[in-house]
Formats: sequence, structure tokens, C-alpha cells
Amino acid sequence: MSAGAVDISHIFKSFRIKERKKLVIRPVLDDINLSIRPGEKVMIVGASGCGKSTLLRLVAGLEQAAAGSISIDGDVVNGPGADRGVVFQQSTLFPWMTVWNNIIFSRRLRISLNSRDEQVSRAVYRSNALVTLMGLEQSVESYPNQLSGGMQQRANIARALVSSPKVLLMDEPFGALDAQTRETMHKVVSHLFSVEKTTVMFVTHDVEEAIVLGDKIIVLSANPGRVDSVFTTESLKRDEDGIVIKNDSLFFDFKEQILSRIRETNTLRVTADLLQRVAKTLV
Amino acid sequence: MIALTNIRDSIPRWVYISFSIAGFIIPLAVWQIICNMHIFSALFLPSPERVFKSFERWTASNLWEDTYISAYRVVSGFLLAAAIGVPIGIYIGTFKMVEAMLQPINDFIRYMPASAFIPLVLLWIGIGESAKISIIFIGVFFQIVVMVADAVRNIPQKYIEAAYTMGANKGEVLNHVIFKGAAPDIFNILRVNMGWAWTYLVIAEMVAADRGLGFAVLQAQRFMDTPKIFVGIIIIGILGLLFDLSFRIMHRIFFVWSYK
Repeated sequence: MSAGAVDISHIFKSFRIKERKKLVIRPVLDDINLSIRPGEKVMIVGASGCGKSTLLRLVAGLEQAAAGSISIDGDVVNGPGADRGVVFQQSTLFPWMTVWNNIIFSRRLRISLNSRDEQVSRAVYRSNALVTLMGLEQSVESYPNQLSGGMQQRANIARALVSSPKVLLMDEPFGALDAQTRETMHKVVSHLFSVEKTTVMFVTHDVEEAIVLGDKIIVLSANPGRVDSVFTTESLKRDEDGIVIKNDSLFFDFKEQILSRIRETNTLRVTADLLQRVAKTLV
Repeated sequence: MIALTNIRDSIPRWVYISFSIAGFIIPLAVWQIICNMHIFSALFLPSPERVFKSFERWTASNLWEDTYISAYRVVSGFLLAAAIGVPIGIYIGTFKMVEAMLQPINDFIRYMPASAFIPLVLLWIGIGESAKISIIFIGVFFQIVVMVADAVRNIPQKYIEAAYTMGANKGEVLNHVIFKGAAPDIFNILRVNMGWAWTYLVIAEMVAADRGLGFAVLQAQRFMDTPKIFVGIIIIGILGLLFDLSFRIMHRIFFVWSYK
């Protein structure tokens, strides 16, 4: 599959939640409009609860929007499908399959691997390439529970990419990893992104991660989620591998700009709300 | 010194096996000691020696035939219950519509004692082999259904969602995720229910039987042959244990992935 233009137009989403024993409707996403070019790596950041994961689940087709539409290359999304690969925060590798069988799972659904078809050799070739790219050669015969968290996420990424999706959706994929492993994963993934031309939507709460891996960074405001601002990483200094240099004043300023947007969209509401509640408990 | 009383701490294998053997030897020794003290009449509590003699007598007559027919009844009733109960359980745990329709009625029947069905079974099915098999079926079928449904519900939603995002359709999710994921639990449920099937044997053989271990125990009771009652019960126990053990071994072979 090629291309992978994502068009998100006038998306509204709300959840019913119980608040003081009453069912209330809490808006999560409020009129989201985004247009993502094919191959673009878009990072979505924002305070927790701003609906960034919900937005990703909508694009994945795992949730239904209350209004608005999402389309990939003009095809409206109305359910999950193999044209959009998803990597979740927690590993979703099937524990009952080896890493290899997990990676090749989506291909196996559509083509019989026993046939001597050209499709088969292409599927196996791509799976092998992804295994190598993600550094999983030693782990293919292992079961997921024998792998470390970092290796599991590598396998999850390989599995999501094996059927060459138009869009790769990543929902805080490194959120559960320790700092060191995360650093390694950034290197692996930025290399991957330079090789794979797939469009990427990547949700994270780590601004540095967003800057290192993204072409474009979208800040969502919280309660309800709205597109607050959009940043591009074009102007940042990069090393010869094309990786953003972190030890640079431009980088610091850029990071501070994004962080201040997140703080502003978040704290205003939270402090007001919090203060009110605290005041109530004090009286 | 080996620490034996640390919470959840593992102990050496030989210690484990020694304790397992002691768990059998100690009650046996206590039994022998009580008999030596002659507190109870041999009619109520025969000595291990007399029980063993009774075992030898039974072996010489028709113990193996009784064992075979009982095992046949238990295994048939159990397999039939598993063959129908597992798919129904999977559907109840997967589709709310099926759950709404079948779970309440299943729970309703589940609480009825299997022995209470004997008169109906006699009336409807008669007194042949199928009657005994039916009692065992009734004893375990409804339990298998409810337990399998629960096992299926325990498959994390994240695996189902992941499968959908990889292009799987409903049937493929059911087959590759729900069934494969729940398989080790389902297998354990079958193991537990195999044990229960054995406990229904005596009840099943109350239905016009003329052979079988349960029948022999009932018969021995009529003739106050206490040692034979002991032998019958012990043999049912041993058979149950062997079936249990083979299920455990198969579980380790089939579901390597579920062990870390």
C-alpha cells in the first residue's frame, strides 16, 4: 500500500461517565480537524485526559465518533482494518504464538503460507526484513513472555508494519519502558521512520520524544480536546543521520515552547477546578 | 538449612516429593495405629491389611472388568459433556445475545442435584448404558458451560482489538484469539470436571447397574463388606488421580507458552 493521507474533519467525541452518582456526558474531543500528508510523522502531545489516545482509537476504527469523519486516502474509516497498523502502550503480542508467528499473523490470515505463491515469499521477505530492522533475529522463536518490555515493543512494531499499512498508529508505545530502553527505542524507531514511508500518528506525553521522532507536533488542549497549536521540527539542527540534536539551544527553546502550550492549556482549567474543590473541602 | 515456610517460596524437588509421599503415608500409618488399638469394630474400620486382602479377592474375580466399565461410563459422559459444553461456553462468553439466552437457564439447572434427575433419566432413557452416561453428563455439563464462559470472558480485550487492527474478521478473532487464548484455561476446566465426573460415578451406577466400581461399592454396603467399600473408594481415587496427572502432563506439553 502507498500514500496514506489522513483527513480528520470535525470530529466530536464524548463519553458517558458517572459523576456523583449521576450519568453525565463529558466531551472528550471537540471539533478536531487535521490533515496529514502521506508519509508525515505526526506526534500528538497534550496534558493527560486531553483525548489524544481517543483520537488515535478513532483513526484506528476502535471507537466511533459522535460526529465528523475520518478518511484515509479518501476512504472513510468505519471500523478497524489492516490498512492502519496499531501499536499500543502495552504489548498486545499474543502470548500463545512465537514472536515470528505473531509478526506474520496478519499475512497468514490472508494468504496460505504453504502455497508457493509469490505473495508468500514477499510476505516472508518483508517479515524477515522487519525482524532484522527491529533487531529481533535472536527472539523470533521465543514466546512473548520470554522477552523484555523493549523487545516486546519492537515485535509489536514489526507486527503492525508487516502488512505495509498506510498509517501506523502508535499510542504511547514506549510509555511503559525505562528511560534507557526508551532512548534505544528512539534510535531504532527514527531509523525505521527514515526507511518506512508509512504515515505515522504517534501519541506521547514525552515532548522530547515527540521532537526527536516527529515532523509535526500537535498540541491538544484538555477538557475537551481541541487542536491548540501545531509545530514543525524542520528548523531544528540534525546530525548526519538526520536525528535531531538535543544538545542545542534551538532544541531547548523549541521544547520550552511546546511545554508552555501544554502547561497553559492544562493548568488553567485544572487549577481552577482543583481550587474550587479544595476550597469546598476546607469550608 | 532449607527454608520451608517462606510464603510462596519454592522448595527443592526432592523435598516436595517427600512431602507428597508423606501426605499419603501418614494417614495410612494413623489408620493402622487406630486399628491396632482396637477402638472400633472391624465392621466400621477394617485394617489396611484386611482391605488389601479384599483387594486381592476382588482382583481375582472381576475388579478389572468393573474398572473398565466404570471408566468407560465416566469418560463417555465427560467427553459428551465437553464436546457440547465447551462450544456453548465459548459462545456464551463471546456473544451477549447467546449469554442472555443460555446463561440464566444454565445457572438454573446447574444448581439442581444430578441425583434428582435419576427418576427422569430412567423414565426417558431407560436402564441401559446411556442412562449411566447421562447422569455423569448432567453432573458436569452445566459446570463446564459456566466455567468455559468465564474463561473466555477473561481474554483481555486488547488482544481482540489487536486482531481486528490486523484485519481479522469475527470468525478469525473467535478462532485465533478467543479460542487459542482460552485453551489452557479450558483444558484445566476439563481436568477439574473429569474429577467431578468420577464423583458422579456411584450415583450413576445407582441406576440399574450390574457391574462397575460404584455398583460394587453399593453392593458391598448391602452385604456389610466394609473392606470392599474401602477398596472401591480407593480405586476410584487412584483412577481420578491418574487422569488428573495425565491432564497436567498434557497441559505442559500443549501449552508451553503459558509457563514462564
